[in-house]
Amino acid sequence: MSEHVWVARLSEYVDGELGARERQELEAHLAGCADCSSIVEELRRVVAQAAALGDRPPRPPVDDLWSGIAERIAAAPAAGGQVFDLESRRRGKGGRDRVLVERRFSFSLLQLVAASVVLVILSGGSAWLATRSGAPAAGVFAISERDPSELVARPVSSSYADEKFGTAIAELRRVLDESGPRLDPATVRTIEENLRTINRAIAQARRALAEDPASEYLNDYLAKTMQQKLEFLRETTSLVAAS
Amino acid sequence: MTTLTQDQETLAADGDDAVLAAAGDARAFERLYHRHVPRIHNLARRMVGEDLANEVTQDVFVRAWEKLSTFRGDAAFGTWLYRVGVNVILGRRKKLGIWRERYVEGDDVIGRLSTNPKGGETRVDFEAAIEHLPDGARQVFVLHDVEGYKHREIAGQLDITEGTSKSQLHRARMILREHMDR
Ligand SMILES: [Zn+2]
Repeated sequence: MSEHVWVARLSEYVDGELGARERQELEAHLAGCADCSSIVEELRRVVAQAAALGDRPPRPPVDDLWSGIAERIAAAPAAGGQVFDLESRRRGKGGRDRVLVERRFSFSLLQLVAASVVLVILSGGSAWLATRSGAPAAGVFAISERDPSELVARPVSSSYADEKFGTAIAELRRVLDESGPRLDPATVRTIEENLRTINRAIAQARRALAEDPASEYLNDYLAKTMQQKLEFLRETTSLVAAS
Repeated sequence: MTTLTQDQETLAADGDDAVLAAAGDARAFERLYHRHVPRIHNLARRMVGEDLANEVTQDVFVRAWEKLSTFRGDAAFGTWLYRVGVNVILGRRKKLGIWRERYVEGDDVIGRLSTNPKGGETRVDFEAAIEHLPDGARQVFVLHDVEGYKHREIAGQLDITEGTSKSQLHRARMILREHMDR
């Protein structure tokens, strides 16, 4: 019999990878060969069990692996150090700068907003917590509620970025000027510092977008982040105004 | 709360943390680690065995940290990380020169598991059986049958022919069928 010719190809048969002619020949053989037929059955069960394995929720490692990783990434150069080179090679000249700009931008924007929010929580205290935990108080959210349509995500251009941030910052600046005397000098200083950082972030964002206006990632990320962060800025303003 | 919502929340959290981590925020990276380590560790365990799984898992996360700037957010972070994981694991085999050797070694290794203690808990037995497959056959099997990669993709990643990928897969399955409870 020619069965050993077929055994080696039973997996391909199970996977539906044989051509029509080969499949017919093999099926003719299977009809008369109990051994090969039972191997086919067993192979199918292996395949099913393997697939089921892939669907199971994975179990975490027993040991702590994070501390070892933390040590190694602390010792590593700035995140992505090696990858920048690869990236710039792939993108050609100028790639490295662009990536750096983009990364620095993302970082500083998030960081500065985190800083403002912390600041607001510290200085605005109870008002902030009250509005976060319950229904928004109309007065406090006046600015963000005034034109909710502005906050809908849409393609971000550098002018869009500028305009929105410009408006939010002008608002905050105005409120600061008005209520400055009532505020703690350290608070004012921190806000001023944050404003300068925002200005730098905007400059960086403009450069990143100018170099790669089509970057879906950058645009999406900007749209989402700015939407959130603008709200934070405006809430900061409201809370300062209310203090 | 539905699973879908949780997935969406994870996706959003992953996206934010990936940006922060790419900027050098190790705590954001630690959050990513905790969300994704089970899957990576499982992959490592199956691909290189229990003994090396911890070490390889750490390698994967260190590499991911180094490569974060290439994560563009156009795929889920988990998908991206998983690809990094597969590449690290396979690159490791190639670097050690084990890969080709074992392919050539061929059938000597096959008999290793053919006498199987029957019974016991099927899943544990099956997982253990996978871990004890000969190199080459094991990686192809895990990638194809557990993880759903195509022969073409596997061949490309391992720098072998599709024919070799197919024969290694078959070899793995022929060994593993002995480990099915019946
Ligand atoms: Zn036969």
